[in-house]
Amino acid sequence: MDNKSSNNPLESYEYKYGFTTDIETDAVQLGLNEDIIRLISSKKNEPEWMLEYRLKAYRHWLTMEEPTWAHVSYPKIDFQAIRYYSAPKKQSEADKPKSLDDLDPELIKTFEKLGIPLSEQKRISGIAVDVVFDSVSVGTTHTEVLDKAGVIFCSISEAVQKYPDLVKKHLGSVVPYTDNYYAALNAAVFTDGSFCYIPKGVRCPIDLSTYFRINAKDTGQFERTLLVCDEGGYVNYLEGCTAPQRDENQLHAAVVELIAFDNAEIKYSTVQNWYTGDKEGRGGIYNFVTKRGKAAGKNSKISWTQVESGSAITWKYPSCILQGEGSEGAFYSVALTHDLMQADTGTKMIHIGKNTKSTIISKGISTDRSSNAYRGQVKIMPSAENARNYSQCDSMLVGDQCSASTFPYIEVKNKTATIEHEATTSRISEDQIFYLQSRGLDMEKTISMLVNGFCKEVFKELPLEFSVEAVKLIEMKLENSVG
Amino acid sequence: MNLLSTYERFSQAYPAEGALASFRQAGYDYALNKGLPTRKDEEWHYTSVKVLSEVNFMPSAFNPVEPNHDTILEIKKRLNPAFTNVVFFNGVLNKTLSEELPTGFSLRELSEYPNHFDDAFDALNGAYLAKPFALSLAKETSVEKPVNFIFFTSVEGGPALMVHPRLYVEVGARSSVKFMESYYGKAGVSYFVNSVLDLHVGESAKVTYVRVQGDNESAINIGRTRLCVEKNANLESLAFATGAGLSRHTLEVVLKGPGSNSEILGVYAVQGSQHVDNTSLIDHAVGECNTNQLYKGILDGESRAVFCGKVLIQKGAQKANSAQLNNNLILSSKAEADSKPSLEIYADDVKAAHGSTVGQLNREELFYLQSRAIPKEKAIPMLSYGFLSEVIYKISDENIQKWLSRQLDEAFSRLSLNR
Repeated sequence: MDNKSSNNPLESYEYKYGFTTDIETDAVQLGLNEDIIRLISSKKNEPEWMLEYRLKAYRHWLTMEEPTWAHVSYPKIDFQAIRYYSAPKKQSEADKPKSLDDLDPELIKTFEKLGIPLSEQKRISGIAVDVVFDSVSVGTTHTEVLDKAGVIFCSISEAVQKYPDLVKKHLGSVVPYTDNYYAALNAAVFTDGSFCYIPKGVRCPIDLSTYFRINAKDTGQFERTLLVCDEGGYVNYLEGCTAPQRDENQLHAAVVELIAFDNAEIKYSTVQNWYTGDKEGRGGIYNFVTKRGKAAGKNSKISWTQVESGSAITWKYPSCILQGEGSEGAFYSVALTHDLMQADTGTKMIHIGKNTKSTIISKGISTDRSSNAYRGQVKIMPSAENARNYSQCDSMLVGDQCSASTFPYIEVKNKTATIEHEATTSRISEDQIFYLQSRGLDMEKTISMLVNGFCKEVFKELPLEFSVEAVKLIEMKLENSVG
Repeated sequence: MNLLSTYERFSQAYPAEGALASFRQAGYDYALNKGLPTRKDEEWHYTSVKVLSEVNFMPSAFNPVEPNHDTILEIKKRLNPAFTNVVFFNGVLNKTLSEELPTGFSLRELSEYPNHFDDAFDALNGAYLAKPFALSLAKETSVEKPVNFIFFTSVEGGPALMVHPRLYVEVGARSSVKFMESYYGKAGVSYFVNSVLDLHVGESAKVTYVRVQGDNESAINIGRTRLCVEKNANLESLAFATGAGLSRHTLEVVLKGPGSNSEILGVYAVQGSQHVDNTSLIDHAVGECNTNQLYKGILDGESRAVFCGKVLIQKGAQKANSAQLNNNLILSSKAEADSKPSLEIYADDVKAAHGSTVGQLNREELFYLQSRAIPKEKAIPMLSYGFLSEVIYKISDENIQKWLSRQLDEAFSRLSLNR
């Protein structure tokens, strides 16, 4: 614990994704106004309706107030000091990269450093990746396999051009721009993100993945993901994110919308590892994200799995609207906070349809001086006959300077509902520590083993690659915190 | 705020000097400034008190009347010979109906006032404070018979009344006492009760505190209880609510010294369009304290029950042990239960757990009784009654148990179970 105060906190902190890439960027000036929005829209060569949508959202955003109810505190954000568009400089339309090999080598190197198989020869890894660098998508892999199956997977700007009907129909149908402050902001300025459409009866042959990277200084990242899974479809979707170490805070306000029709199933997993700021709480990403899925069809399923181990501040509630009869929603979360991180995360399960089911498993681990809160809502509407919910939220405290909070909101308007919520908070049991140590494990291994055991219920929901990564990530983070 | 419109007249009718005058004024200023809470306030998210700004209420102190014969009969029904009964009629102490306080107690006028208000209702109560009482029990005194402060409200014609009882109770070190406050009103009469009670549980003292809210369904009852628990003390607290159209009880338990044990209980049974809100804060300010909270309720008709319970374990309050549970039984398809148990923990060597359930009767239990030849129509009320009475029987005093189960019977007779 005592080697914490190093002269250069940025150096002592082992955030291995903290490098920046020197790459020529094409960026707009700082600040936000209607002209900037028009500029973004024109840079992306968007149709008129898209611009209209953005402007409507922007005008609505101006009337809204920044929410303050979350259990986090931070200095007021100056929305005029953010750059709303930054993109690796592209060649003109004519010599746009035809394959990923034509990409800026610097960029490819960046992603290789991050361990993202961007180049096609690494196809072997078997995951289709859409990579978003600052404000734009720079490439999508495995397009052939996906084309064969009829799956559409591309950046959202491409989708606006190529599949305007699909985008127009579904964009904002789950998270309307009136939803909340950051959703409105995102709708006004979102620059890129992923779009995915799984046609009727198609099981997506490979896992899909989006990788987000904030690189440029002063930029905010506002990506938008739209995932539509038509009747009987199935998709496993992964999302990862990192950012360089910087002294000032950067804003990330994304919106993710999922729609599942009859018998469709969407699994959405996130490993969030944005830069957390240094030991004194300088810098780091403000991660203010709205994620929501609509289980619109009969027996549709949506599951959110997240490992939240990054960001200075996390404000994130992946939710499910269970509209279809017999639909199911699930939320599995591990949130680890260290140093001065603040996390206020959880979920919302809105039961509308009959025989709907939801499961919430949340594990929070707070260490150092961090604060970690679970905030979740379970709402049973009068129409939701025989709805069932089970929630379990456990918190673990490591050190006496951190805090853990649980704020469940349970609203039941139907007598046939069965709702169970339980939460516990405790520290690692001394008996368990003693047992492992008596078997020859050192303190660090012991803690890491116990924490992994504590999170097991969630980790087992993650796809294999992510599960391995998540375990490593938690171990690495704990190394710095448990002394 | 229309509730303050009679303040001027009140302060002329009941002139005050010194500390009381400035306390009233502070209450007036605070309430005026803050206004009534709205559903935008996180603490009042599920309970709307808009109705209070739509009706005009007159401070009960304006028109002190003696209860008439019918009312006296009704009040007498609320007196239990096993208790020491102290009766307040329309907020004023009624000497004829009240009994002498047991030895060890002293009732005096309050001389010191708190310097802050918790919310607009607390302040409103302060603004309309006519005669502040402080009740204290000497140290090392054990009082066997429960003391019941009964607040009965009734008026024949005229505008609706508002009553603002405020009481300070201090229990000396190593003393033992059972203290109850009960609220009732004449059937059909609408009124607004806004009570504030501060109870100080001295070192190693043993206290049972029961708040019975049995108002009629046209009444509004807003109450705040602050319990301060010292070192090694033992506390049993029960909030019992079966009445009022709109009721809200805010309970604040502050654990000031290590080694205390607190059992914090709640029972509610509501039907029709009743709305009952139980909000509580259990503040582990120091470590090594045990708290166990259990609130159970039954909802029928179009009623709504709210439970917002917060357990706060402050920095350094190591070895705190806290459990919290809220169970709701919904009998009707139009009733609504909102439950918000929350934990805020700033210390690591603690045990804290909470749980909340909303549901119907257990099918297996029902089946068991039916298999023992008890028809469904009888088994349902039986199980529902057992569901609630379990909480009442956690109170150690038998006389209180009996008295409360009688009141629970009354409430059950109003539920659709028996029909």
